[in-house]
Amino acid sequence: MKKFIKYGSLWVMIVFYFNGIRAQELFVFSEPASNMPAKSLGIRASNWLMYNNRGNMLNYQFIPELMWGVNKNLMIHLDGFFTNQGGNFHAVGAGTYAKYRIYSADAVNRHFRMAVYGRLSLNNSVIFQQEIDLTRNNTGYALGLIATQLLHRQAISATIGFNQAYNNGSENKFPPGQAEQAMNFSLSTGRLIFPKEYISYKQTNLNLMLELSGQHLIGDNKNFIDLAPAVQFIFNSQTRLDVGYKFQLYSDMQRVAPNGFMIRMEHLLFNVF
Amino acid sequence: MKSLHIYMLVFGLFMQSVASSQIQSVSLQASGLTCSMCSRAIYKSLKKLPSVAKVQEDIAHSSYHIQFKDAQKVSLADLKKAVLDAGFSVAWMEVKANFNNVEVANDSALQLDDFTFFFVDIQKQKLNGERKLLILDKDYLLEKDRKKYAGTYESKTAATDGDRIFHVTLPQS
Repeated sequence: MKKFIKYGSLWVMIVFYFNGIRAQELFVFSEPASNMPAKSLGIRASNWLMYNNRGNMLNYQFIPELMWGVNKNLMIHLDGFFTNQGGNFHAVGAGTYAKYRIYSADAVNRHFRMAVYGRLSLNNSVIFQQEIDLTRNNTGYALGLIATQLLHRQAISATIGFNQAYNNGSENKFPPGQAEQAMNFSLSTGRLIFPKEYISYKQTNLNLMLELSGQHLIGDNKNFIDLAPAVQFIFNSQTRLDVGYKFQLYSDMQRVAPNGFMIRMEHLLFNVF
Repeated sequence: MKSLHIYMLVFGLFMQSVASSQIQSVSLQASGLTCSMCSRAIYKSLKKLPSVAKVQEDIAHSSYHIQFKDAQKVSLADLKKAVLDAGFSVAWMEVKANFNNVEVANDSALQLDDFTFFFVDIQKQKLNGERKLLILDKDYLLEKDRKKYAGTYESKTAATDGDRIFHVTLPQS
């Protein structure tokens, strides 16, 4: 409990630190309640380089993703999961994610938005950790709610979601006795460093992000909390480069590779459909 | 209530002024964003409309100045939809036109291109030269600003065609 209070107060400090400066909500480790523009197509390539607890090996995961703004309220992602697990680089699964904006209150330079999301993932890798991760390790589904507040120059986004994991195909069963259900949460904030003043779409934007995320295993009553700072460049108001470092603050569950880097490129094509 | 609306429409037509000029340009501010990627999404969404010739953006203020290829084909509803499709809202929208001694008063209707504009909250006056008309209808103005005017016109005039009939006022410049 003490640890929760410690991390809670850390978060409050972070929020106050970010108060009064222009913030951004194109988060690196979570999704905001806002959607991408209607009829646009996003192409995303995420590279996870995580230090393996079992040895000195670096776990590499590659997640290519297509994102489609169906209309102003609905967006759909399709992603593939690749890994170097076992020594050779190979595909382990695929997934789909949909986000629907359910509430929007806009004013100049501010908004409050809420969205619901769902994820369906198929994965055939070996399950050797208690953490449920539907983008890298587990077959299953997730359902959740996102709320994002952009207030003057500060953005805060919170996510809460339910995860259900299943067997990873017929060969890699879900370990018996291990919790198959989990609640995920995240709290994120971001800050624009450059430019100080917007003049042109060609200006490179530099954003700093800080995100807190965690999981509670239902039944096992085990938890982890991670903190992830990230730096984000936006080129030509169209292409994103994110570099983030995620590390474990607290955990009483077994995790294989909680610490490491994520490097992502994302390109947005407007008015494709 | 319906007969009152019809009466007001007829009354409106009776009071109607026909301006010889066309819509010159439209300016709008979008709300709900701060980032340039968001701003560019709106820019691209406005730019792809067939009637739009040029969009000048002011990223710092999330505002856009829109010029048209053919003023006859302008659709204010399409401009609004372009902002909504990009994921944001319209904070305000102003139509700019040139006038030559056109008399307007509260509840009077002005015919401009294919549009009918009903005036709200103005002094009886003659419009001359370049003037801007601020649109007061729902989704064209921030809700808190719209509420200042809504009570004064909604019970009086029937604007039934969401794309062609609008309520406007003269913004203080």
